[in-house]
Amino acid sequence: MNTSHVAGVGMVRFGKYDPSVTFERLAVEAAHGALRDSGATRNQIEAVFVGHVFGGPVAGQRVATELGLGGLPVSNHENYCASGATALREAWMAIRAGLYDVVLVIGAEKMTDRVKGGVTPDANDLDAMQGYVMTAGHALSARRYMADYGATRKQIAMVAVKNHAHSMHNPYAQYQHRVTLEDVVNARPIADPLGLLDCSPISDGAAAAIVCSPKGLARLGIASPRPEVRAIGLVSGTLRCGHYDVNEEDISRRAGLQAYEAAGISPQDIDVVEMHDCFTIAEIVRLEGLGLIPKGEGAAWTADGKTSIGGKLPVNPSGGLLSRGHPVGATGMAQVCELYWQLMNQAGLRQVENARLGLAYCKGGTVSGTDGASVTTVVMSL
Amino acid sequence: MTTVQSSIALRSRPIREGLFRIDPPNLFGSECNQCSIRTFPARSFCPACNSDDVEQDVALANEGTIYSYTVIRQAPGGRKTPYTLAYVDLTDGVRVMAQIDAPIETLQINLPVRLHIRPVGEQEGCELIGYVFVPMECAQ
Repeated sequence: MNTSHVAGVGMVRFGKYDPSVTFERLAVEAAHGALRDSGATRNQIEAVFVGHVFGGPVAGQRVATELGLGGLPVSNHENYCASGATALREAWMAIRAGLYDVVLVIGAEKMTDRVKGGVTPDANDLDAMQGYVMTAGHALSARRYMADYGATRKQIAMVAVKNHAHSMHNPYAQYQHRVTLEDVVNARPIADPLGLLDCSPISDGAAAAIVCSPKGLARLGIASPRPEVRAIGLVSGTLRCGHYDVNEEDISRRAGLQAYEAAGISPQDIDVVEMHDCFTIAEIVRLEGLGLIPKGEGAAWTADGKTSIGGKLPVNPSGGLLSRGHPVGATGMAQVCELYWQLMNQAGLRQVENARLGLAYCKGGTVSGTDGASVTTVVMSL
Repeated sequence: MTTVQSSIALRSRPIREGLFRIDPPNLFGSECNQCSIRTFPARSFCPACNSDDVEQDVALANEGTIYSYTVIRQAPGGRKTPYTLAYVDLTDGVRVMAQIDAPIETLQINLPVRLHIRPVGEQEGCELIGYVFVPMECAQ
């Protein structure tokens, strides 16, 4: 089977764009960046994979048309917040299977003109009918985590403090400023114990990569090493029974195992993590679920700086979703951009020393009764 | 319960068919004949042991305790805030996500609560009947 390599990446700065800046334009700019970075030309692209949630029907084809890539196989991939990484997984599988040698993967989202007040499950979902919003699920998790492990509100808030400190050096981040612990714990309450700064923002943005087989890299004239996509795990949630532990993170455990086995690594080998910190508490319990941090210790690890750049396991050097912003379908590919820059030693002041093996985790959506809808785990190494 | 029944006679419907009955108030779930696990809502298979030998329309326990809760102060879609959402652990082993109707300052993990079937909203002039939980001491 062919190996897959990221030949180059591009993204637009995440943030709130005027309604006149379209979904298509964001995606096209990110794609142009990836084409430039990799040195690929339009006629070398063989297929286009696009992840998005709110882009509407055939959004990928609308973007491909604007890019001058009409006629190619174009596919749209929706797994809520894991959509971008799911699109990459489809590209990775196609390259492994020998179908293509050079493909374009885009994650894109325009949210600020169509999503207000937070994202929710589908209206048909039984939890949504009770008033469930994404924040609520994480608030329920946070309250229970504090009760079960003795973690403090401040320790959980430190995830936001840490990720905002990282984002100061990320020119693509929506927020590039520090926040203090006081800022986080005193922010407007959204779903207690979580406040505004525990929540990732509603954002616009796009991120893209050119993904190649070894033959494809040669075709682009790339002779120096490029990060390999070693494996991408994809799992869905399962129905939980009885009075289960809401922070057991079985879905994360399974997604991690799948990727570790496929990549032939163990979790201790990982140098840097891009984690789906849609909410502060989520970063903590998901790291634990992946087996990267002992159960119940994630909050203390964060407060002790162990997940900061320079710590034992740097998590979200990009600033994560909390600071980079969270245009849901674009996030997975933004994580891949960050891993690319980290592994290529191009991350500037947020560079993690000796980053050779990276993991990017996304979790998308909820289904009533389950522990989540979809989780992706991208393993990349140089 | 009389107000609920009379309103049903007028113009009302449940938020979804088959989830509950009004009198006596119970949620309906399923129970596995192999491993005895109960689930809500009812399913045609057992999510615990994967058996298809499952009893439908099982009236679930209508009392339980709060496993975790949150007071939601910002929500999309014009939903009125604040409101309280919780995981309620029923005495027969089932967990249900539902709103809690109780003063915010009384909320706590392990608070005993009881099921109430009542109007929870309106859609195009039609009253929607759903379920909430209320603290045991003010259940009636």
